[in-house]
Amino acid sequence: MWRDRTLLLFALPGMVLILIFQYVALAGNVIAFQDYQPFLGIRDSLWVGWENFRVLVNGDPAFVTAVRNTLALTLIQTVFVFPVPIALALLLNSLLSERIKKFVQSVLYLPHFLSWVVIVAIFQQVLGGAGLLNNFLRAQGWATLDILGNPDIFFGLLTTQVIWKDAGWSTILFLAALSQIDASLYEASAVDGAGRWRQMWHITLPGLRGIIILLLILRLGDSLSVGFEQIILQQNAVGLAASEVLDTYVYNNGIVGGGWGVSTAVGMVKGVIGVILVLGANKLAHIFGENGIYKS
Amino acid sequence: MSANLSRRTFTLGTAGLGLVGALGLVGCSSQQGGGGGAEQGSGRLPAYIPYEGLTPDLPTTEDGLPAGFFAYPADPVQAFTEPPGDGDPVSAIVQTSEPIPPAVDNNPYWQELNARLGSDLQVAMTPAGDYASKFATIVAGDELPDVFQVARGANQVPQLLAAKALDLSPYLAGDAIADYPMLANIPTESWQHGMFDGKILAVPVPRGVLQSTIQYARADLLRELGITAAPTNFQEYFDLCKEVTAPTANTWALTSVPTNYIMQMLSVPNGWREEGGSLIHYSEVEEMPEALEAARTMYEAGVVVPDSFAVNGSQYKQWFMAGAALFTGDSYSAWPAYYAQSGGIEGFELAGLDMPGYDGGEGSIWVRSPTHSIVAVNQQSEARAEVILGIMNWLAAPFGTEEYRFRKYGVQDHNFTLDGSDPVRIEETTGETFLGIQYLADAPTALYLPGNAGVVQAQYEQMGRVIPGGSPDPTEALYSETKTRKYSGLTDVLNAVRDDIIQGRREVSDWAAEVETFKTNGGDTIRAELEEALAAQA
Repeated sequence: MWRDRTLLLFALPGMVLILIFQYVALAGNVIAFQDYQPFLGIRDSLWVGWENFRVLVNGDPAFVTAVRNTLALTLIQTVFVFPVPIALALLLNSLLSERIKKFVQSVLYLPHFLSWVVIVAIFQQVLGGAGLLNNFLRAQGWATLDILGNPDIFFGLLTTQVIWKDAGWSTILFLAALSQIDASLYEASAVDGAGRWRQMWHITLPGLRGIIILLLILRLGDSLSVGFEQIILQQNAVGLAASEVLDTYVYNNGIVGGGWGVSTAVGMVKGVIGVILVLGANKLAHIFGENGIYKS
Repeated sequence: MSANLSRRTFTLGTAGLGLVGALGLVGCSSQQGGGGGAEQGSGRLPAYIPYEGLTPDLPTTEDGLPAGFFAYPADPVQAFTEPPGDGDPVSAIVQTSEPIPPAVDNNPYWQELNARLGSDLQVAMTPAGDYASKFATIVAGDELPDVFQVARGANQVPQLLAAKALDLSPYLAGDAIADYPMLANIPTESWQHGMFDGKILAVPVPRGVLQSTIQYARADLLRELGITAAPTNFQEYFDLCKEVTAPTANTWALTSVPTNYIMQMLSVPNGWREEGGSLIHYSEVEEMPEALEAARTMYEAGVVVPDSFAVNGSQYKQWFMAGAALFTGDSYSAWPAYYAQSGGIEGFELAGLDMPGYDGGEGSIWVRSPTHSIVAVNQQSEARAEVILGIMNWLAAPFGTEEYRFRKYGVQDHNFTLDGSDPVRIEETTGETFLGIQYLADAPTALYLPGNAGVVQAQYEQMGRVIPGGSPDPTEALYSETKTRKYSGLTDVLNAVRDDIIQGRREVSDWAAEVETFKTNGGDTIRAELEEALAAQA
């Protein structure tokens, strides 16, 4: 430890931050067991035991809607969003010209640095009812498309936005993993007469397997968080029935509606489920002989 | 000591979960009541001592019409001879509907305000739409400043104020308020909103009837289309909307679905209707499905700007000013404000639609609360209460004083120039004055638009036609514990259903079931409590 003192010193500020804002803040979860009133504070608010957790089982329609939407979105995002960066990384990797590759990468990374407010505004300007597309359609005398205000395609819209914003950024890890694959494997397989598809199937994808599983496990831990900012910004357009997810429920019911205790209880259960999923998936990965996120 | 206490309560909480849980259910209202019963608005109110200032060109009336002025006095009275401050800063939070101003270092107006107050006013502004959630987090973080505007729609206001706000009764009750003559000029009907459990816990920002909302029309653009007649029933209104809608030219009739306007045409109650001591909620009346059906038909007909539900009120203003929509709903306070923003729009003219009945005859406008919001002083700032109230008093100097002109228009020849005796804003520096101080304390509203007596006259006349037939909310000054806890949440649900119905996602016939849910989830309890309070008042 003394040997690493300089490095530890560098890490100290970060550790302090994590301690204060992640671990100490966890203690605030006690309000899940209170009829918490912000003006009374934790000290004077009334203890109500498990009362706040009742919402999880008593079929409260708002909560049920939030759970249903969250699970649907999780499923959609895992199936449709997760593979996109892998495919993109493979495509990028197959580009020969370094210069074009750099350029395409930069273009793909950029949206990641825009905040959701900006992205939602861009979508509104382009696809909104009074946006570019519909103005064009109207000018031609054609029927307009209701894209942003249509609850039926809201999940599709969210998924599209997520892909547009973050798919490029997520390729970084895969590209790094791709560069680790031993080039001699490709040469050897070429000598043996393997085509590009066989190479991808037998060399590239197995080379990526570790990182794919690692990211999938981490994604599972996050799976009940399906994009708070993105959704809350577009919630009014489609109504709560189509757009309420656990995170927005916690915000709308807790901070806006004053149901702090219930919301904390929901948030806490969500966190616990996330932990269970991560640990479970990790276990599963071990069973299949993979590294997972850590080795015990 | 506090650590011991918290550990003990925590152990109690974890060891006796079931027991405490049960206690919590029955005990919460009495434990945290702070204020209870039907006592909001009672107690010893401040005396009403009108400020003897100018004689208005248009007088206030019994019905609640505000005073109107055609010109600013040439030599405004200096109401204060010395600054109210004590040299130490005063912190405050308010909402704002205006662009955030330059910081104090780059803001000559703000610097001048601080100099005139004799204390630095450190005011933090939050956009009105976000204020309730921002306020909730500030309270939760226990970071309330010296003075705070209580958010509309904040939860459990009476309990919150009982816990955090300074009891101002010793300073303001009865004739004590004479020390703060500008606050004494605030009408009693507004002071009722600052009273909780017999104590004065907040200073109201008075608005008279100006918070009532109407439909505005772009009279200039309508005239270009050859339309001058005002609709006299719903069908005419709807036809007019269809006539002026031209999607290919990116023009629509309405910024938003005028559900409230239609409801008022149908004389749907303003929140509640009182009949022989019992109360009927607006959601229950038989006209409600009709109103929803009409609103839905309008939306379906495509006379509303397509993104209406996706954006907020400030966008409506922009559409309306840009002529993308010819009608918009807004409060009476906005009438002069639209003109103030209309610089650069040739021939801009506004008209307020009257309130016709749905099938002709008369509708009934909802006369909104006479109080915009209430402003409380932090308990922890008790030592400086008199200074803080002095500053609020200063900020409430009425129309006609030099202080009022400074507050609303800024520094002469920097923020405004004089045209005759009227202050005319200088556009480049107007942003400096957007400090939101009108939400810390304000004088009763006066109708006035610099250099435009005609607009004042027009608004006064329109209000004279509409306001007398209006319906106030009979529960305005009544207190209900359940209402403070649940009403805003319950109406949020109703409004979400309303919007779903209007946009065709649910059926009008679904409304009745939602009203039942509203009633069982707390609506009936609220009604019972309000009726009790009503009986106690009578």
